Amino acid sequence: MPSEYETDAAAQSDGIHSLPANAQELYQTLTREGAAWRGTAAPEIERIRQRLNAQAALLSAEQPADDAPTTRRIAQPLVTVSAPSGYEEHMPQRPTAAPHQRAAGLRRWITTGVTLALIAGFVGALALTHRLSNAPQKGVTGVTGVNGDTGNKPTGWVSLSKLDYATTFSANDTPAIAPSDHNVVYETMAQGLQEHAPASMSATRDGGKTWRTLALPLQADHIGYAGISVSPINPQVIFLSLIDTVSADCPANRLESMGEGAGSFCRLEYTSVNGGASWSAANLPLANGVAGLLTTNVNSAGPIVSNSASAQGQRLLSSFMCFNFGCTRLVSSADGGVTWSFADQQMLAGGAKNVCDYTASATSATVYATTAAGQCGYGVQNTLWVSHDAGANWTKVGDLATTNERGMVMGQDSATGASLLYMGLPRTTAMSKDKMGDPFPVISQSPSDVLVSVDGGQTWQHAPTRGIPAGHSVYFQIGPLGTLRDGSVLMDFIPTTSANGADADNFSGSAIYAWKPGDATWRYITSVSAEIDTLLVTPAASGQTDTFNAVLVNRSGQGTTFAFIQQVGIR
Amino acid sequence: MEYERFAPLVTPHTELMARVAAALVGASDAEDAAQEALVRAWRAWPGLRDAEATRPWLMQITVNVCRSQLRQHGLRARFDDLSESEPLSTQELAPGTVDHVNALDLRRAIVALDDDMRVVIALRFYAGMDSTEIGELLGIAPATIRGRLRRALLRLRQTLDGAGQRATPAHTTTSRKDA
Repeated sequence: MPSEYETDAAAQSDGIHSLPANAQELYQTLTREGAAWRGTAAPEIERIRQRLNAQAALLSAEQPADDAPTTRRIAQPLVTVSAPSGYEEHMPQRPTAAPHQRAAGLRRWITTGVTLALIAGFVGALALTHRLSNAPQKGVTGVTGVNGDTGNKPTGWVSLSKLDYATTFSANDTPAIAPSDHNVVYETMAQGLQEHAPASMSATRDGGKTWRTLALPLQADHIGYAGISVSPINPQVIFLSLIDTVSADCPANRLESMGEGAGSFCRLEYTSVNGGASWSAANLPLANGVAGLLTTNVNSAGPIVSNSASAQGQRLLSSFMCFNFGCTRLVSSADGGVTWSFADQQMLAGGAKNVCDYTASATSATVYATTAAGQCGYGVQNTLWVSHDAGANWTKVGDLATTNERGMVMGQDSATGASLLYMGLPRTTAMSKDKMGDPFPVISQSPSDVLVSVDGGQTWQHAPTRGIPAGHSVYFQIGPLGTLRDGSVLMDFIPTTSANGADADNFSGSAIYAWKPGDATWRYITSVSAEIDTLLVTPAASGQTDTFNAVLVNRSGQGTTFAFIQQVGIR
Repeated sequence: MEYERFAPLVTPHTELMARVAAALVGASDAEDAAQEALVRAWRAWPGLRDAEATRPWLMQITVNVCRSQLRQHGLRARFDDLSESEPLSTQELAPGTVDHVNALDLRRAIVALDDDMRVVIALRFYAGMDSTEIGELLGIAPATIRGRLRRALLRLRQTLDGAGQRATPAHTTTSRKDA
């Protein structure tokens, strides 16, 4: 409702005071009436806005055909499966946090262990995975595939097939696409630590047309969480991180407390080399006498593996979470994921305590890592290291310029052959406090805070700001999405109103832009109308175009749904 | 303008598109109108040369679509919609009361305005835009908008005064001007 002062000022501006008194009275009535109407209509207007944004994102990716219909209606989301009946009665919704708090929440998960979700994943050297299964729930528009021709520009996103589950359970993991075969997808569902409802796992080999149920290595109703990831070099090698909620199942040295007398649980990791037909306990290194878990590096572009026979061969790399969140380390496997060992001893010997992030080259044995002298987290000074022999030996490069690293990724300039190291390294613009009262830095949202180094991290140059529409900000929370065949880095951009948290609950889509050294501007690649959960970038051979495969997540009070989509023709 | 820039340039203005459409054709038809406007904008996108002009360009398309829709559906239908289902404050009022009758009279009076005046009233009060914004949207000088606004108010007042003499319920002693 406008204040009297505002109404008077507006009336003055409109020249209403020259009107008869009863017309002025009508002006005031209409002002009040209009304000009341806007308040009542606001939810409907917001719903329409989201629909328009979704449609705009889809239209951006195609050109009108001669016979294009005058009006295109937004179809319903591809995947909408309601939560099980009665679910809402006993599963509280997690509070929604602003985007800048999501990453803080993830970091808190690593550093304090208060969150029981677990993220595990692998992504190929030619693919990057972002997993934000610990991200808060929020409303996101559904996704509709748009068919388009293949040519020198990207086609629209095409729905490959619906994924066959959706849930609002906080304990579920997201579907895992096999980086080496996009038709192979695994998905798990578990219902949290308190439910004791059977977990399940299923897989598809044909892009979702048909699904089969897989047996789990533990009794299904003992599983409170099941996170799945796939080897980037073999779609049949899968890694399953479980939380066993029955303490009697757990080795004594793996027990963790749920707190406040709620009982104990343990985290267990299993490996299958035959697509889930059989399982064996993962052979993981010990930290503090207890094995930990493989995990994605949640503030990075994701774990990387090289599948270059001439370089790192079949070596896999992953982050490793020590028992009870005691540390984060870097591990590697030389036998395709059957056995693992630490690959960070030199860095620890050089003063590092935890490995916070890493990225590896697709075409050489080079690996970069950032470390912290204490716990990894926001506002922590990270140090950059480099290894040119897949982690056997490390050289300290130096401290990062800010304490806000938001992921790094390697690429190779197809024109010059130069090795490129990109990093999201925003400046601190202010200090604030998160929902738990802990201070955290408010970071810049400028694309110029995407940095690149062509000399192994010795010197850095800033990306330009040109090419990004006004009112859009880098979505640093998910860091670099990957690189294209030409070596350009991919970054996600969202409206600034979403980026600064003011519109966090109305995430209405984002646009992906690319840039590489030498380019004066960012160039638009594609848009998505929902939150990117997983983006796999498959660079094609020379002269061909790249392919994106993505899992988009739509979180709302009605359930969490996923869309499995593909876009080809990316340059 | 490249099609790839459509979403990044358009999405900052979709809230206003929705609000303007809702103010002009009613919330129940706003989605159809706004989506129609969006598709028209997309088809005409290559013709937009200046990214800075995106907002007024989109708004002009939206207003044109809404006007077209009103013409197609007829003002009578719009009045029925306005009087029964629009989220105006009349819904807070008990049917048959003086305030309810007054509010319905106001709606009737707005619908009965000339198109140019009605658009200004809708955008000024219901979309919440000032005369400068409306002028940019319609491609008309703000002073002209203010003039239309004042004329519209006088016309509404005349209409309401006439309606009040016809419609004031006999069982109430409260006059319209007291309401």
